[in-house]
Amino acid sequence: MKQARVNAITPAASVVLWFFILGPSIATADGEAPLEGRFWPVEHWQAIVLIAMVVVQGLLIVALLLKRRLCSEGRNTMAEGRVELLHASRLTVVGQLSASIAHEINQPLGAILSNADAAELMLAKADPDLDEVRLILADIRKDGLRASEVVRQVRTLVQKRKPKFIEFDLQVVAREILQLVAPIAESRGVTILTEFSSEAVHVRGDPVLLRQAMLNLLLNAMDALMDLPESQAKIKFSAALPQPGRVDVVVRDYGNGLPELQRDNLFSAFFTTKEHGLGLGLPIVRSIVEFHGGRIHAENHSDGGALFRFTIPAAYVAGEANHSAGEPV
Amino acid sequence: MTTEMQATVHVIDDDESLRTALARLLGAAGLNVRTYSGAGDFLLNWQAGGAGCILLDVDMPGGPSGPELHNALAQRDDALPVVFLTGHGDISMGVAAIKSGAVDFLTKPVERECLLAAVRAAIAQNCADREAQAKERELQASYQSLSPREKEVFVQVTAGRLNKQIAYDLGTCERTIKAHRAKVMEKFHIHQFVDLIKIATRLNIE
Ligand SMILES: Nc1ncnc2c1ncn2[C@@H]1O[C@H](COP(=O)(O)OP(=O)(O)O)[C@@H](O)[C@H]1O
Ligand SMILES: [Mg+2]
Repeated sequence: MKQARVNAITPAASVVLWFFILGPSIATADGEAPLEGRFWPVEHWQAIVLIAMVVVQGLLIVALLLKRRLCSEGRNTMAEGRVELLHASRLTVVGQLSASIAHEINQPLGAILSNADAAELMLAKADPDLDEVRLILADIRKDGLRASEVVRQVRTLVQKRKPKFIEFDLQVVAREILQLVAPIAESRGVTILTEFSSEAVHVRGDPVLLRQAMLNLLLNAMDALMDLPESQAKIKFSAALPQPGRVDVVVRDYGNGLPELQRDNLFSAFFTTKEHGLGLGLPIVRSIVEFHGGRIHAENHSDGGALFRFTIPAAYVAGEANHSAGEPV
Repeated sequence: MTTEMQATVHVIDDDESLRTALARLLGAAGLNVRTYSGAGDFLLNWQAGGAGCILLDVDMPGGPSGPELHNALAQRDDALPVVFLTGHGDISMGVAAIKSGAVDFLTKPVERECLLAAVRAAIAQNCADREAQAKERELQASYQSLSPREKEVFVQVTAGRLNKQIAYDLGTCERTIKAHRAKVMEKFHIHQFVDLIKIATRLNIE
């Protein structure tokens, strides 16, 4: 809409300006010479003026656009700006890895295409093996689902959901997640030990996003404990305020730890060592944490197992000691 | 002479489902196929020596990549021609692969006609290479079966010298040289003198 208005102004202005340039030469034309005869001798200065006008018009457009942008930026609330930011940071993740995405999708598509080709050749034979063709069809369906799952995951990554920034107790959300994963943990024989503080841990952010981040870390920890004896199948999960103004969320497991060689790749999209992994869990966690102005760190604990810690700023709640006792409010 | 019937396509791809699909397609097109889940699997289970070609995935995380395996295999004289398959379709990678001796560079998902044409071309190339190698080995064996005198005569004769001159140099009569010459032709299984000259050039004998 606004774009259209700017465009409408420009032609109108240019008609006026053209009239201004050509007007005098038409007006001074005395009847004897044909009109165009009068035009061309003065070609030089007209050309110069014309170029100057084009430049002025260009500057005018730029100025209008800039002004509009500044206005609208002023009107935007902080939160809206942040949506763009989160969206942009996720898009960067996706953009940088468009090659990996192409790979993830081309893989099942390649299988579908070759399977279909194979089935076609088989059916063209005199005595086709229908059981084999049935197997092929089942595989085609499986790969179709696989491709669509990749697309779905990437869409969640780039989706422009408006984060709702509110102040809330992170521990409440953490307990909700525990309820969510408890049945899975139980069925896999995993114990989740929690270390929550007695005080509320207030943060300002989007609970849905932060829940997603903690959930991804817990799911990874449970994956890491797969096939390990029950005595080892433990996860420590804590959300605390180690320092004023700072909230730490730690998910630690007692599994085999992070593959040392692949430490740099952990947060890369599509990096996975799991057979059915997608490798989007950790990049999503990182973009959520960074969006909240925080940082994430992964290490192997000296007593074994992987430890993921993310730190985000605590919310300052007036009238409440939202940090270590003894700190002035 | 080796043909497509005796050749095997070795499919190396870490993605099980794609690997199976490719094997089915190549099999349905009448080719012998073997599949491997990665470079390591291939090196452990490949029966070297047979005719065929390799259909090689470029990116296989958690192990050597396709180009790495290709470079390692290229050192061997029983190396098979390689057709690369990639999910990225990176042009520069393709150029590098072709320069390093790959037969073709295909992108996933690959069209049936492209795949079959590339694989058949690679097999044909391998068959031709093997035939040339076999011929070469046969000639070398025949040459080694010549007696020292026969070798001497073979060298002199193909250098364009007359029987008379050779006989003089070697201190014998022309008839003996003629006999040696006949023996050499027999050992190379040829009847024409021109063929003997051709053999000399192929064996690089001055
Ligand atoms: N708690 C953990 N212990 C060991 N390895 C882990 C842990 N969390 C993540 N990883 C490694 O990081 C990789 C990427 O994780 P993620 O991005 O969540 O993708 P996915 O879970 O789909 O593989 C995993 O495949 C695994 O190798
Ligand atoms: Mg995960």
